[in-house]
Parts: sequence; structure tokens; C-alpha cells
Amino acid sequence: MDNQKIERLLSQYESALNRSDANAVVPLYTADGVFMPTEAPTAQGSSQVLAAYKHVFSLIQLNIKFEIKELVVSGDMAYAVTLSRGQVTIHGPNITQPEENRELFVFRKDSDDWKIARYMFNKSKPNQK
Amino acid sequence: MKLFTNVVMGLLLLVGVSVQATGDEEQIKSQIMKYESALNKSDVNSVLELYGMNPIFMPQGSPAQIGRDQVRKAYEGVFKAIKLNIKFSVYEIEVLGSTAWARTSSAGKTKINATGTIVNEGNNELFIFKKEKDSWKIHRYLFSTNRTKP
Repeated sequence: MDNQKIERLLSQYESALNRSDANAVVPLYTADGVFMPTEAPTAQGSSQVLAAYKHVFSLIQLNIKFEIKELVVSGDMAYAVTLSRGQVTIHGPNITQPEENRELFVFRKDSDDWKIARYMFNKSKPNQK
Repeated sequence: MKLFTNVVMGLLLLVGVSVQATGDEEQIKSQIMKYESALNKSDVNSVLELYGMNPIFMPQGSPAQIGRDQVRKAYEGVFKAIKLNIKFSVYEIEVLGSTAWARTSSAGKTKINATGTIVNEGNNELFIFKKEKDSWKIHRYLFSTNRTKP
């Protein structure tokens, strides 16, 4: 049951990313959620998380799919290792290129709902510069 | 009297639980400090002592390193390429049963061994720890730079 709820949460997150919908991302995080994007400052708490995603979506449009590699629940805490693959369009130069990241999520059960408590990702391939 | 005893027992239990949790957090913090020291000494064996039986190490820009052999090779590669001189800041640790996570950042300098160039280094880290045989070990670990592109 917990696993299914977390899988649904991840699919809601994937959908919000692909729609560039920052307002839909925020309720998926706990109120004190922490988002640690690569090459950017850490966002802590709902208003910073909202601003961080708005900034990301002003730069890029994602079209990706998450694959859950591991999901472990321990009481009211859980973690997941995932891989996301697809394409990213960079708005300025309007370039579309392959995108691949892997993610480490920490989830917390908030009332009866699972939420993203901490979240980080990085690239599994060297940066193309 | 029975109620009083129950209350006292309850309080003792609460204190016991909280002391246990603090002990775990301190052990995890101490593991992170040992990790910092092992990185700065480029000491692969000391790094491996901190990892558990079935670890996954996800360094930025490289495939996931699964299992102790791959993790060892990855650190051998890292230490051949760079010499770190960094300090970890531990922001938070949460323990639940035999699983825990820690959020940290690290900052300092990196020397590129091939060229001798020294560059600034800054990363965020997220660790998942697992208690194995009474000792907290790194189970999953991912880091990425928090420095904006020049």
C-alpha cells in the first residue's frame, strides 16, 4: 500500500515536470521539503521550492519518464533510487537534446500521504561542454 | 501508585528512545567525519570501511557503482584523478529503525593531479545509511555540485 502510494506520487511528480507546472510540484513536497538541484542553490520549504521549479521551467521543457530502481519503506520514512530518461528542450536557443538523470528521494509519511522530503539528482554521464 | 509507576516507566522509555536516537545520530555524524578524512587522505581502504555490504555510489557524471568492488574501483579512479581538500557540513540526520538519511554539503579545494591545477569544489550530498551488525554504514550515496556554471 505504501509502495503504491509512493509510486503514484512519483508519477504525479513526473507529470508535473513534463507539464512545467511548478504549482503542482509544491504539494508533492512536505512543507519543510528540500530540493537540491545540480548547479543551483538548495531550495528549502514550500516558497523556495516553488521559486526553484519556476526558475527551472523558465529555462527548460522536460519530456522524461521515471523508472524506479529501488523503493524501500521504513516506518514513516522511505527512500527511492530512480532513473529518468527522455528529452529536454532548452528554451533560449530552442535546442532539444537527450536528458538522463538519476535521483535519490527521501519520502516522509505526512498524515496518510507520502510526500517528498528531500530530493537530489545528478547526471550519470560526463557533462557535454 | 501503579499509575505513577507507569508514568515513570513511560518517561524512562521515552528518554531511553531519545538517547538511543541521539546515539545513532552521533554515530552517523562520526561516520561522515571519517568519510571526510578518508577523502582528504585519498584513502580507499578507509572509505570502503564506511560502506555497507551492498552499496550503491552515484557520483556525478559517472554510472552508478553497485557493490563493494565497483565502489572501490570508483574511488581508486577518483583519487588517481584528483586530490581533495574539503570540509563537510552536516545539516540534518534522521534515523528510523535501521535506516537513516543525512543531508550534507561539502566545500573546499580540488587539485587536478594531471595538471596540478587547483579549483574550488562545492557539492550537496544525500546519504542513506543502514545499520549493519550494530554499525551505521553508507548504503546509498549521491552527490552533485551546487556551484553554478561559470
